[in-house]
Amino acid sequence: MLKGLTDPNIGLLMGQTAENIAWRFGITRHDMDQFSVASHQRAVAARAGGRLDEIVPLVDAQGKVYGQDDGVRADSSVAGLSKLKPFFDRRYGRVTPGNSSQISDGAAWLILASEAAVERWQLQALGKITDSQWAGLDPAQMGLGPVHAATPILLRHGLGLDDIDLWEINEAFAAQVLGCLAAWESDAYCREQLALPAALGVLPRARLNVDGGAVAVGHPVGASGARIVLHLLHALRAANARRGMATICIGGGQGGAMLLETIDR
Amino acid sequence: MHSDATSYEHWQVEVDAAGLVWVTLDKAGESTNSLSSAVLSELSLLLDGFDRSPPRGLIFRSGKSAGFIAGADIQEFTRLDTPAKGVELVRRGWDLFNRLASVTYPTLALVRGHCLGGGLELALACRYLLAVDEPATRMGLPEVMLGIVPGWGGMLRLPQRIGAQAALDMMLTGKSVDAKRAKRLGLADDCVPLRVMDNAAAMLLLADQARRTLSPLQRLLNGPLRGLAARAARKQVAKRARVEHYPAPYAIIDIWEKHHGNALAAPALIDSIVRSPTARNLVRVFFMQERLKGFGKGSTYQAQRVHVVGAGVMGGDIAAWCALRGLTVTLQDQGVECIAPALQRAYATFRQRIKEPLELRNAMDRLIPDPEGHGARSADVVIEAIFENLEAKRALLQQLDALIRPDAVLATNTSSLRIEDLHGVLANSARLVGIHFFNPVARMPLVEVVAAAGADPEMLQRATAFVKQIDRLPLPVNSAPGFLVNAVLGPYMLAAMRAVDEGLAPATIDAAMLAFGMPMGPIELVDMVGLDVAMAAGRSLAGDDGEPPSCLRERFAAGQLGKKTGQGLYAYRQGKAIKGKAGAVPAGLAERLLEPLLERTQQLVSDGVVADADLADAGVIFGTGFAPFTGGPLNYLRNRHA
Repeated sequence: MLKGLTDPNIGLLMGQTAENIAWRFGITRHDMDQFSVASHQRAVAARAGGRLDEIVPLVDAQGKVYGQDDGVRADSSVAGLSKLKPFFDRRYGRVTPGNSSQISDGAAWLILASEAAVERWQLQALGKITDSQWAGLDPAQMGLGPVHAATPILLRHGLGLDDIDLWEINEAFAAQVLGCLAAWESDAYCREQLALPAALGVLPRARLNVDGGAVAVGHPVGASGARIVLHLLHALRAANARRGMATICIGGGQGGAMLLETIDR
Repeated sequence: MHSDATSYEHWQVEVDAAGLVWVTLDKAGESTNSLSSAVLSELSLLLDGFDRSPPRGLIFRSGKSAGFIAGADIQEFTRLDTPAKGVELVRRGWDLFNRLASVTYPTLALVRGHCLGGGLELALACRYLLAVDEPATRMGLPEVMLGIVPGWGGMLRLPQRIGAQAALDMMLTGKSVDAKRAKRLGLADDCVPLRVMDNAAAMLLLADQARRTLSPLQRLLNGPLRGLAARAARKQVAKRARVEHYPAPYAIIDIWEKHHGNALAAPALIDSIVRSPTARNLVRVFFMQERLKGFGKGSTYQAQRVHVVGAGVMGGDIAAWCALRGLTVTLQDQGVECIAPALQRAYATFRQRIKEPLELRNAMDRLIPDPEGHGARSADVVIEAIFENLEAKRALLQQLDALIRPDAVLATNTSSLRIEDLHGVLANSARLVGIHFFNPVARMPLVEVVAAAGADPEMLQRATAFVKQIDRLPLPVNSAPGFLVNAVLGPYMLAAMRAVDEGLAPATIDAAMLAFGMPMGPIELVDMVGLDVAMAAGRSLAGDDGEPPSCLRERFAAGQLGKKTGQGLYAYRQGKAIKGKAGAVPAGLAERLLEPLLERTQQLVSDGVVADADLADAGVIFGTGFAPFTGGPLNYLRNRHA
């Protein structure tokens, strides 16, 4: 498992790339733990409010029913998380299992159809992908991939961070999501890394991962991209909102982003 | 964090929420931190303040991207004209660092990048040393290379910290260690990645746990058995340096053994070291080295891709060196089979220098065999290093000229052909420059940057910046047979071979020159260069109308071409010369053999091949290993007459 989550080009664990970002932007252990507690609380509330209903129960070969993900913790607290030891940089680090995504098993399914196919088969689409972008960056900073993937989409459409109604930034690590926000708020980063004249701005936390994220519900690698796209469409519809951005960091030094829009049915 | 109200010119003081004080050395007006008297005076004032209100802990760090602290301010060494001034310089650092070592609150040096000489002595005076695990992090006491001793507590504290053997080895060779090795030796308390260095520094100070102690054997070698360790060290030093040429390493052993590392206890010894001709000359060599480096600065030019044509010993090793220094290199020859041996040699060199497997792989990945020559088009620097044949080189240069980017540097590594005979085939003859490396590339620091008359100054500047970029010392020379280095070696080797013709044993001749302080005798040098090369270059370089020496002619005729054939002026067994015993050295032999070298060096300065006498001295020292303690051939000549 550790081998699978190590970048063979730079010899760093994914969690160590998150430590790099935490150091770069001065993100504290407390910031990360607080973010993680919020992720659990939002997931708990979403589950209670029926906003995570796209997650369906599983039945194993013994007939046992798994009705809910067991990673979501209603009792998660900053005090509790602060007791955990750093895992990736063992003694001196800040990234712990508590403020990282959970390594989960999982699968996600959604159907991508062309406009012609939608018309021909009279499909009831949840929404449409208006634009998408892949980006590459320093593998040692891979957690900032969403910044590099989402920014060109915003620029292409003349949008600011707060012109997007809802955001999903996959929570590989709390440090990395907070790092993305800090990068967009940093004049230096936006100038040097994104060739922008100044900082892009503030992404309102109220619009980000409104129903929690991978820190709470888990990060089944390979399925998470599809999961956040699907969930974002549901969340937009639930909020009667129009426009959303789903974005994810990719180990090895990439980011992916999709601009989504709901469709009136 | 909040800043301290008192303001200093060179230090910044901040206090964090936990009550730890972070002092940052950011020497005003310099890109590198050094411990000038002004910097030390301010440190003393800082410590006064902490005496009045002791902090919970104190962290030293650097405000320079270049590193922690490079050492003492070497300019100040040149002003030590009386014994009192030398002692005063030692006392200043010794007293201050003793004071730092005895403060009641915990202290830590956060070492990132170079931490050398006085910088390491400051770090050793702290309770903890935290090393940041980066390739640029190096710790060492290189004073011995300037002919002086680490008198600010290094001779006291380094043996206490890591044991006598390891400490003496570091102090006597001047070699530095990286972060991981520092941790293994016990020099550093921990070695951590950049991203956690601040956390780790704070945690080490707040925990304030006892340091690791030396093993019982190491304690004995620092105590009752120190005589044993000193004797072993003297024996080691004697193999490399004669006391009459290099007194400093012997003084280091004495001061450690007899005075507990306190140089002030031996003021006469200090004076004899600090104001010795050796120290004066080595400091001069240091500044000459800085001057050579300076030629490559002041230009923003940065090469990223290099294309080398010719994968022989020189071309292959030049390509490997560039890859080792971080450039992407394509290496072209007539087939991948011709390039393979160069990759094998590169791997052997890289493996000695790179410990991290990933870095090793990355370096090998940067060295790309390119039999088709695809890399030429996109290269910033293109170096021709094929065999020394005028027509072949002209044809190749013409091909490359048409292919490569107009702004790329086009260089030849020729040692015996005239640039003027090569550049006529180019669309713009001003473009071609000489970038002349020495063998073995990885060990010879000098590279001659050769200008033909009318050469494009921009291309010369780029070539010089490129040489500096790959950590070699660029020496600008004008086009002339043998440039500087080979031109002065020619008559010297010729004189040595004439002495063989006169009946002296090669071993006696070499012994005489080793005793003078040369790194290798002239006869062994001829064998290494190759008797064929010596024959070919001989007449033009020697400037001698006579016949080649018969010892050279006969062996050449017999196909005995030197080390590479296993027989030259010496016989070779497993690559080592069988020299036999040297006879009694006739009086004045060394002087006689040197005379042609000294004359030729002077001649080349007056001919303007090299710009001035200092550069000639620098070139001959870094290009041939000419006894550094003499300060170079022309400095030697001046002092001999004085």
